[in-house]
Amino acid sequence: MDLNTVSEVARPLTRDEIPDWHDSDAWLAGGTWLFSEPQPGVRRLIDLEGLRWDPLRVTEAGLTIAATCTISQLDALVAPEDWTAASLIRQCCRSLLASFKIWNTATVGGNICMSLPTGALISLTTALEGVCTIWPHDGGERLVRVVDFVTGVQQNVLRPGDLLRGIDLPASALQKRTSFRRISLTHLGRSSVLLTGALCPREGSMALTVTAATVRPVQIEFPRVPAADELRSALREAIPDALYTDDVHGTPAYRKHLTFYFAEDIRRELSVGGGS
Amino acid sequence: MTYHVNGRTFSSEPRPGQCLRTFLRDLGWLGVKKGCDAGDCGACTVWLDGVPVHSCLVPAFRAAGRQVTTIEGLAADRELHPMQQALIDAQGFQCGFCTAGLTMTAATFNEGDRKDLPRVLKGNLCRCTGYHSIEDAIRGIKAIEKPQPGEAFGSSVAAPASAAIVTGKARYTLDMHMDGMLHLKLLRSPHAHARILSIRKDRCLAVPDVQAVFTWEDVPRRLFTRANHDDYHSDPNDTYILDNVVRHVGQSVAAVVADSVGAAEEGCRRLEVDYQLLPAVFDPEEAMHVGAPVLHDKGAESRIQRPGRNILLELHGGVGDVDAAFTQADVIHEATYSTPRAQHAHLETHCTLSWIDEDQRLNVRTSTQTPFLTKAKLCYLFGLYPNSVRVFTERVGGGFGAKQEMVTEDICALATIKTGRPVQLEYTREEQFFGATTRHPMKIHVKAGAKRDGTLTALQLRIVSNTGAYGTHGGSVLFHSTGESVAVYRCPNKKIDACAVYTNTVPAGAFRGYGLSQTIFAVESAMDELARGGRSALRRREDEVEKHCGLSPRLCLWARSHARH
Repeated sequence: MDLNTVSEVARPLTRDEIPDWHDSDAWLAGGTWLFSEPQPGVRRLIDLEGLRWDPLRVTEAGLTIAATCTISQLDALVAPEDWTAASLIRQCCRSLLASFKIWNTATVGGNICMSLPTGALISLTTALEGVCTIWPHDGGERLVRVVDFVTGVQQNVLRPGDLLRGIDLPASALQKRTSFRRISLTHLGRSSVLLTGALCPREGSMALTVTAATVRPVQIEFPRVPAADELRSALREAIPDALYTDDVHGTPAYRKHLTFYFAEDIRRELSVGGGS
Repeated sequence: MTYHVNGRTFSSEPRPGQCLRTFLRDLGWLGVKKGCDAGDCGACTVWLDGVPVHSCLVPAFRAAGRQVTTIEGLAADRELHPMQQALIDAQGFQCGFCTAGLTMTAATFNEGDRKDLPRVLKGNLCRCTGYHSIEDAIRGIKAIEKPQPGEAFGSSVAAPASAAIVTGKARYTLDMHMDGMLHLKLLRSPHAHARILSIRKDRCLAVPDVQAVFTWEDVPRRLFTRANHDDYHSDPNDTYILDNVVRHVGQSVAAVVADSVGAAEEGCRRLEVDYQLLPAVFDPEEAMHVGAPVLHDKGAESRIQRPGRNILLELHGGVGDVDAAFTQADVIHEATYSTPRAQHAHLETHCTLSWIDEDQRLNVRTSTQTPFLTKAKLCYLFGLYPNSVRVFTERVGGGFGAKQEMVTEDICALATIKTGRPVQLEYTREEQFFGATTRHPMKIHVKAGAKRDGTLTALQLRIVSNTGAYGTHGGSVLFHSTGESVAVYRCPNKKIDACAVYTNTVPAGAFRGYGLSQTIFAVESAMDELARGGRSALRRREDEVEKHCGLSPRLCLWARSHARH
């Protein structure tokens, strides 16, 4: 929709050209959320498109995703063969409520910065041990793990004027064996519960990542695939009842039940075939 | 910067916060439609360098230097893209408001996409077809015939507007621009029940391009109903165009007209309103209690049956003796069923464009299901002769009952009469949810008794309908909810008590089904429960309905088909 209060667009080409932050500024990446709601407080858009960040970089160290990389660019990634966990990219993109047409405009960084429980790119980058690079408003760079980046429903560690530059997924995470479980109240609807498991083929360690069910992502690491009761007690300890999301897309009790159910499912799946 | 649209080049510059959808419409590409303006419905789908996007979410300046294709540019002149032809052949539309966006989406599908239609069509909402005919179109199934002369009767001919719809040439209400046109925006109440003590307009009128502000003091103090029925006695006179009492969150408080939508919005933000808060009631049962806040302290001329108890209308009737019949029943089911509020979500939001022509006649081009009744209502409100008012529609982008209501016409016409200028009011999608109407939420208590052989002995209902802050359609919907949905079952003993009750919530109104779906949900659920452990519920329906075959063969057929499949 038209944002009629906006009277100016800044289009920096380099970091130096990014103007000083005002309360009435808004970062413009894809714009798919910004333009979807009235924003009467916004006077200036700071357009990130001109910074021309490489959307995706594949290196031996892993995958570097620019915050401005679109969902469709990420979905179209042709990953190196030994990145077994890259299948999660496709699964998480398809967990978005939005149409594939929105993927052509919406960005990975936008999805993470919205910090909604259902943010499927939060699910993806948390599961794959992503690390955010933040450009603080006062200069320098700050690294924060995605699991620590989101702190609540539409809450994250960014301060006014801070900018998410990108996300790095380490190659070691991309080489893990993964398992994926998701449910929504309606067919192809918004995720109520989205769980992933990642098994390290070398060490046999397992990480379980709970998203959508909880107001922020929760990751539980095990030195090996746990036993059923070990898993349950770890879940109980890591997720107090108050952490389960309570909104129209599912009651906390429903989400808790399915979190335990899917976690056990994932545990069994990753138990089969062993760690290596 | 230059903009390339459908092979043509434009040098005009969008506003900084303008989205591509409205920029394209400003350039004259009116096939680009607004359904939600929030990226959900897909009616505004265009291609950017060949890639489909929702143009309501794309900042217009980002299209600079890129190739934009709208529905008008999909195929060369006088030819149709295969997808356009397929939509005609399968008649994959009704109102057609979603069709341009749907076409621009489906025209990009590959073989894999066509195998996964629920996913790839997620971003295209159609409220008319139920998607069956759209799926037919995408799969190349034909549904139309070209009959020979003399053989047309009974054949499946294409809708006359087919070609215009699939090419984006069909004109809907706001697909028109008038010089000197003003835009109207409404300030809405943040309170559920309040008296307006004062409205300060100075800061609003100081906004450049704001031309006028209208409040309750500027409108004819004439009670009317927004519901449109041929006989206006069907509905209560409980409404003013603008009132000094607001009775639900979202009710219009003031109207601002300006040269641009942005200025009108800014004007609304700068109005300063002093409210005296009044106690509010949201539950219809509570609203009927003695001592509950009274919404409409009006006399008999309002046609509200019991205004002091917030009861718009109550009905009590029946046949036989239910109390005696329940004692003879082998099985009794008793439960309370609730149905929620729902909005029609027609893709074209409520909208009106009004102007005064050279003959000094008021013209009202509007999205309505009832233009003639709207005309009569405008004549009544403004004291105009019928020959001095023209109310008409172009193609209407869906209504489902919501446009059997005067929602935008009165205030738009008022602004035109006061300013002498063309005025346009276009509801946002958000406004549809608090500034229009909904289906009546109902609570229905059912008690049903039957013999072991399945014979119904008694059926008793208590229906409480929530008509919201105003009584539009509240009475007639109640009549229907107590009538047909119960008449289908032969039962010698029936009793119904029903009432439509005011609460401080968004008004309910006409909605397809018109009261039947609520009661049918309750009655049919009760039949299912009665049938548990006994004869199949569907068989029971078949038996019951068959007894009425002479009365309703269609229902009989329906029951048979449902019983056997």
